[in-house]
Amino acid sequence: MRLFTLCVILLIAGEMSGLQPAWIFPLLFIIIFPGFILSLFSWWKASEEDEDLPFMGY
Amino acid sequence: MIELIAAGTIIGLLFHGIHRKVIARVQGRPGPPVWQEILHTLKFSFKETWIPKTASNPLFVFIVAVELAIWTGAIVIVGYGGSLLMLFAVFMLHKIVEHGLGLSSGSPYGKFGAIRSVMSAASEIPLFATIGGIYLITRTLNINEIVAWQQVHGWLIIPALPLAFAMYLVILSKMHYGPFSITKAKEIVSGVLTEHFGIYRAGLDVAFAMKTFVLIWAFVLIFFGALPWWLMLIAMLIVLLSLSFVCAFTPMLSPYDTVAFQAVVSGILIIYIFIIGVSL
Repeated sequence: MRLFTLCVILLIAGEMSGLQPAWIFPLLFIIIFPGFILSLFSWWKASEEDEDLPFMGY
Repeated sequence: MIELIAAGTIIGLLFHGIHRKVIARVQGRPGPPVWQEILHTLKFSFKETWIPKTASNPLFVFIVAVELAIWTGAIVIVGYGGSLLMLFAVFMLHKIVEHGLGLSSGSPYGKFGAIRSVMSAASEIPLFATIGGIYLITRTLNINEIVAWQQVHGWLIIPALPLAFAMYLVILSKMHYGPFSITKAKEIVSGVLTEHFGIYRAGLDVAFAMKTFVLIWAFVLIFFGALPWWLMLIAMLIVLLSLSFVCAFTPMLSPYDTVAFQAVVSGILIIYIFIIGVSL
């Protein structure tokens, strides 16, 4: 998650600053973006270890 | 480019919500709020997720990443005004991803969906007809050059109305709840999507949102040329509303009728292309 986030931030920063060649962003972003999305969702999804909230009744 | 990808995702999800709302209103139901699909995606992303025992683990996860990658690539291609052939290569890859989604889960419903996806490959033929026809008229397949051609000759939709119809049909065949949505039909639960839930479904929702955005965007760009961003959004919304109306009024066809309809349209288009190929 941290690695993908770092890569995405670096790519966006590089594109916005104009320091990196124009072809780098599309090429790397297409590879990194799916990993970023899936790792982001994996990071915040509900844990598999914790129990569900018990049913409290009425 | 990042702003385009972010906007594509959010607008695509909103478009899916509007699509559902319009279908519901036409059918006399209140329908969900237009932002429902955004909430839907977030809900799936928070859910506990696991991989079914029957699934092929690497393919089950990897295929979602591939779907995200190809539609991110499609936004980049259209954003940079690349080749139409590249965009349609993405479309072909999407077909392979559909097969992969269905087959990776091990579910019989997913497999039925994958088989239907193979059967409905006829929906790609109008796509080739569109490419061939556009090339015959504009002598280029580069999106930037097609846009430039329209600045000189006017809207491409006027000399190429049947080609616009063909591409419209291709977009319609990929819309949810449409007459050709046989790969995700309810009689096979959710077809190719049956076993992909939780974060994988959320990832697919993001990819499908980008798909809807980029296909409608490409349609407007190819047949109406470059427009200011607000006018482009209005034009895209009008195309979406027309698609939603078609989806609302048309029942889902059986797999055989779907293939037959698309094959007949393809046949008519091929004759049309022969005619314009000879006359130009």
